[in-house]
Amino acid sequence: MRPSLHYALALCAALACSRQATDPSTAKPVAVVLAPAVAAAPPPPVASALPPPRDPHSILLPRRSVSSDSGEASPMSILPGREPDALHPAGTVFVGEVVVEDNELASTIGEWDLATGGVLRRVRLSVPPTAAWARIVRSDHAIHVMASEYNGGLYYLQLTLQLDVLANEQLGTVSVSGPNAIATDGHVTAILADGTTDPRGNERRLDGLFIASFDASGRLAGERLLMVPDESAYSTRLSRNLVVAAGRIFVLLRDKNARARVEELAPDLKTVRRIELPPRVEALDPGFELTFEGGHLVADLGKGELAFDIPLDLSRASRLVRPQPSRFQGRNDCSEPVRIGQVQAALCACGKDTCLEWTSAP
Amino acid sequence: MTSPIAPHRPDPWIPHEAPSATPATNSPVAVRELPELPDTNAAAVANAVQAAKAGTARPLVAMGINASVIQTSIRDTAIERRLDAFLQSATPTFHTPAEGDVKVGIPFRLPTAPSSSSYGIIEANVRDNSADLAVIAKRVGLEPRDVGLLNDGRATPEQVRRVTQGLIDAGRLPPPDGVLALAGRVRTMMCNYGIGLDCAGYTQQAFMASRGVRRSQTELVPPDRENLSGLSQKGFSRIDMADARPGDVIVLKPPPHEPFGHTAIVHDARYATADEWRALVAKHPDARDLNLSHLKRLEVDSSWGSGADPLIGGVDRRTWWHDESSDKWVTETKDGILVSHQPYWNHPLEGAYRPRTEP
Repeated sequence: MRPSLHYALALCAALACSRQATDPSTAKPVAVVLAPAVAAAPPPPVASALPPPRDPHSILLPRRSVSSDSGEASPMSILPGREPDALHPAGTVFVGEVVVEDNELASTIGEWDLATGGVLRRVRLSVPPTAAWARIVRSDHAIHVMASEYNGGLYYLQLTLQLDVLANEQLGTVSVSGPNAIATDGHVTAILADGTTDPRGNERRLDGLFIASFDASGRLAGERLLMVPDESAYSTRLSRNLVVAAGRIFVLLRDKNARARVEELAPDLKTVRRIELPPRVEALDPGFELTFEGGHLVADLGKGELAFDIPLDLSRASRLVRPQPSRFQGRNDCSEPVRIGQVQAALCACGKDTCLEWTSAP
Repeated sequence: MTSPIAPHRPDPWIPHEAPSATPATNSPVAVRELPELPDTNAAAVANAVQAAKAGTARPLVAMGINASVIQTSIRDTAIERRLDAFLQSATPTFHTPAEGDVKVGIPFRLPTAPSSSSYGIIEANVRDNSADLAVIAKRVGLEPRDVGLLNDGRATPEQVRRVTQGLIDAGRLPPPDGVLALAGRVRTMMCNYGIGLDCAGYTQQAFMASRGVRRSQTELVPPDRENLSGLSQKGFSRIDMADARPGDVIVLKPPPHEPFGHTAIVHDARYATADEWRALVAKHPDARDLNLSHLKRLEVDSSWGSGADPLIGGVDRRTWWHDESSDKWVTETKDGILVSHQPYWNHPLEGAYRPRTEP
């Protein structure tokens, strides 16, 4: 799994409050392909030299949706795209962005060529305009999107790397806490969220912290309630607590007594095994994270100061000393960098705008 | 479709309504005090007595009294009183050891993720204070789920009051800085601990308080899931805005380029008097074009957006003016007025809603 990287999350509610539902049927799927189009099957990577450097390698991404109150830009996120090849010698990245289109908000994903600074293609996600929060992850062959409204609809979309939409499903609605996480290994994709499944309210409706899984083609494979609302207070605010690896799902949860555990779920979402983790922390939002690094799980329960290395069989949890995460070009105001072959790229603050910056990977 | 309101239970927002003192009734609104009746005279009373003896079905009409108006007035008065009480509960008085008491409206709360945005910066403070909040909230009797609701902007005003007072008692109120007054420092502290209400959080609770019912007696879902959308599927009827009256819920859509809508509850709705129109024009000359004979005046309660500024927005009662002849709306703010074709800022009206059980 590669976690989505959120940057410059800006909310714009000075004159507003909670959202209201928009009929998903009114959302219009719009795909925009911008020239130059590229071949569907990328050519094999070529170990060519990087293009002549621009200084800095910085692509301005002008604000295309700005809060009328704060003047702040809408959320953006970045994912690695294609590795460097003959057509795109510095590779590409995918950028998730909320823009204004047809006089309404639109969540989009665009593929950017780092060498030319041009956008190769872009797609508008077919979700309501108010679903302005999207987290994106990718696998070898697909992009997976979890989009949500504030205290409203929750959507899963799967796209090809050419940005063709393969799947689009409304899972239900989320509580004020919003969704927790999305993760994929390409074979299984999982979404963890607090709220209610199936807003139409039939018999399969679940209320609480639930998980949903999807198969490789984006079809809903299963849903399961993990915690009822009275027990989930310590888990609903975790936001990077889900890993999918080797077809197995791992979730970091905290029980009603604030004790943390990592739980493995089978593809059918039944619990396979679990491991308890110290210590007990009272805070509702301690920033606990579960990531997949070097074939192991890493449970970070202390902002880098208290981390555990956990093998995928959950047989033990060993204290781990983690180095400080490297900053992009040593700067503070950038997202976590993504790596595309020899290149790393990040979204960085450029005054009131955002820049897509890239450099040779260390 | 079931009724949105089940039989009456004690109203937690009316302090004098002891749980054991109120018998169960099928009426959703407990009427405690009649408004003043119209002036009558002995002749009218005599007519009424005669009419009653003669078997007239509506002796009050014989007295020149429109009973339906009285009943409407009784209902509206009861709802207004309960909305007043709820607004008061959401404007608690806090006790400080060195600076005395201060009355503070609960600030606006919009949970988000920590980031470099204005709301995100506050959220970073909320996360830093999360462990401290958990300890103090537990000390004043809140369960973890309640603390979650607190951070969601969906706790009760009483829970907000208890935790905030607990923070003050624990010495978390920043000392005077020569810039912010006491109330401003209390609100800033509340925001930095993630304590406040969003509009749906306030409005749904005010709705229940206005009828003296609990959530289980309505079709509303739990507080952190209820966004007051789809009210037509929750036992409400959409009504004409011109017919809005106290206790109706107003739902506004998001402005064109924003993801958030807005909700509020009507405290009062009636045509403006000439004095009110003159006062409005005196304050805001731009309002002189409003047609007095078609000018509706609405008082609406909510928790209003703040732009992440602890000193503005939050729980408040605001006045909207609607010129029904031109469909112009006027919103009064602290800085002046806004004139538009939307009720509030650029929020288009989605609708006004009333429980189906209330004709």
